[in-house]
Amino acid sequence: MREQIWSKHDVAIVGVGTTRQGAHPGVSPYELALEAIEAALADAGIDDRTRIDGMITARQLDGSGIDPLDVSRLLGIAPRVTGYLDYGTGGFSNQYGAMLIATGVCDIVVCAFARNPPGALEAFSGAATYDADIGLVNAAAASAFGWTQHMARYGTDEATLGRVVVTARKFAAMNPIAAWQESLSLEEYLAQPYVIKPLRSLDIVKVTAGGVALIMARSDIARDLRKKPVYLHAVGRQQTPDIGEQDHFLCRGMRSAAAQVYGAAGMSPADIDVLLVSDASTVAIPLTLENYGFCEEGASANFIASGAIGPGGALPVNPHGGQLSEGYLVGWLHHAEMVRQLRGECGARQVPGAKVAQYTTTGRFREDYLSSIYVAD
Amino acid sequence: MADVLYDKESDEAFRAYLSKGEIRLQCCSDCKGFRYPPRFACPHCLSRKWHWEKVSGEGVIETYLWYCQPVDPRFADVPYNVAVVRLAEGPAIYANITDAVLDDLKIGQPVWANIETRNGRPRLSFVRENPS
Ligand SMILES: [Zn+2]
Repeated sequence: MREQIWSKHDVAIVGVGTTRQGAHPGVSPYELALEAIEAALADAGIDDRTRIDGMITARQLDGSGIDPLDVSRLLGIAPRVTGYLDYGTGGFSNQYGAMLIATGVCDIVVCAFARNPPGALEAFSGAATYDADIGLVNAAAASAFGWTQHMARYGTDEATLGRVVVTARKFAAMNPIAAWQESLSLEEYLAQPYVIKPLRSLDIVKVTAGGVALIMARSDIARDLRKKPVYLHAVGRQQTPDIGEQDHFLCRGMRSAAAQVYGAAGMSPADIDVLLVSDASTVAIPLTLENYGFCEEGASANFIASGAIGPGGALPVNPHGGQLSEGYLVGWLHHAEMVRQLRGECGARQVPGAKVAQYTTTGRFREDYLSSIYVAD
Repeated sequence: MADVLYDKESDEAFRAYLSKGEIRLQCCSDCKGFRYPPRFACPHCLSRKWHWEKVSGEGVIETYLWYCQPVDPRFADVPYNVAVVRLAEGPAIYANITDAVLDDLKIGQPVWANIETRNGRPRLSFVRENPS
């Protein structure tokens, strides 16, 4: 087992801020970022923003996103460190911020992301060309490959994916910032035509606009701030090769990320109160449930059909509605939700007594895996 | 595919063989491992020495999908499929199975390489019916 260099209470999340998610015609991503950062500063009770000495942002493959230096200028501050990741989805960017805190490079780091790409609420996200010769396009293809294989091997079906969307909508109805709050039935889902068979339109995230910010701090600083800190206990990560490996699209790299994050946190799936899955498609949820060990291999369909992942279930998944319903900020909003759930601030969608939250994600064409565990004070 | 790995010269050589009716993959001259898509170094042993080796053209469908609506305006001729074909020699390759209609594909199904010309360029696809 690898030891993680930082201990479980070294890195605290002390503030979160989010804008409404959905369409923001004509609004610059920097306006959305500023709104989210101001909300996070107020949430943390940090009045003097010059205390921020780290600014981490992200850009995406489509060029959307924000620049950390420009955001700092906008805030009128000069942090010790500014940085961003290309393809900086939520978990990877927050790990970057956490490493700055854990190693003592920074005291207070703002991690922020905002974007306003064209086609909000309409266009499929994940536009990319993997092979122009044969028309292999859009990141959702990885999910379609995976679910075709899963159905053939384990006898699962498309209704499982439908139940994921139906569940996400149930939660989103309790989330005032969510883009898609209207309810949906399994019949309505199944009546939709295929887009990339076996996926329908509702299985694939749409582009949305919005902003989100998290503020991280060293634990001794965190204790003097307004809210009870939430701690980033551990992160696990794994890179996998391309399709040269067998079962690439069944996301076996998750198993390595799972072993790392549970090992470093000294936990197992049984310790997780609420699970946040970066759901660029519905397929991410059953594959996470199996590969992380929340259920047996091939058993996610029954697990999901039992209602376990929904409101009042044994393992609520994405109580904010996920990217499929709340809005697609590439995993960043899941981190805001983890903090709010662990503080007990989520109102109707609050998971009762949530003390431990886990985040999981896959990246690129099933080539990066990451999971982190957040714990209440 | 990261552009830095894409070996245009080798890709063109691969297509030149296709236009002669031959399917050849890069084969490491040291460890004899096959690789696809073309790259300048062997991913197994990092050797830069390699040659073009004829392959059987036989493969098995590992997984597949069907584009039923155009998600990209360049590929509006739907439905069409893309499969992950595991070649008998080891490498996996993304390809269209050109003699299948919707719902006609199965995981584990054997497929055979087929050389066709599209947009004036030779390309590799696969078919379900053994052409020989
Ligand atoms: Zn070699």
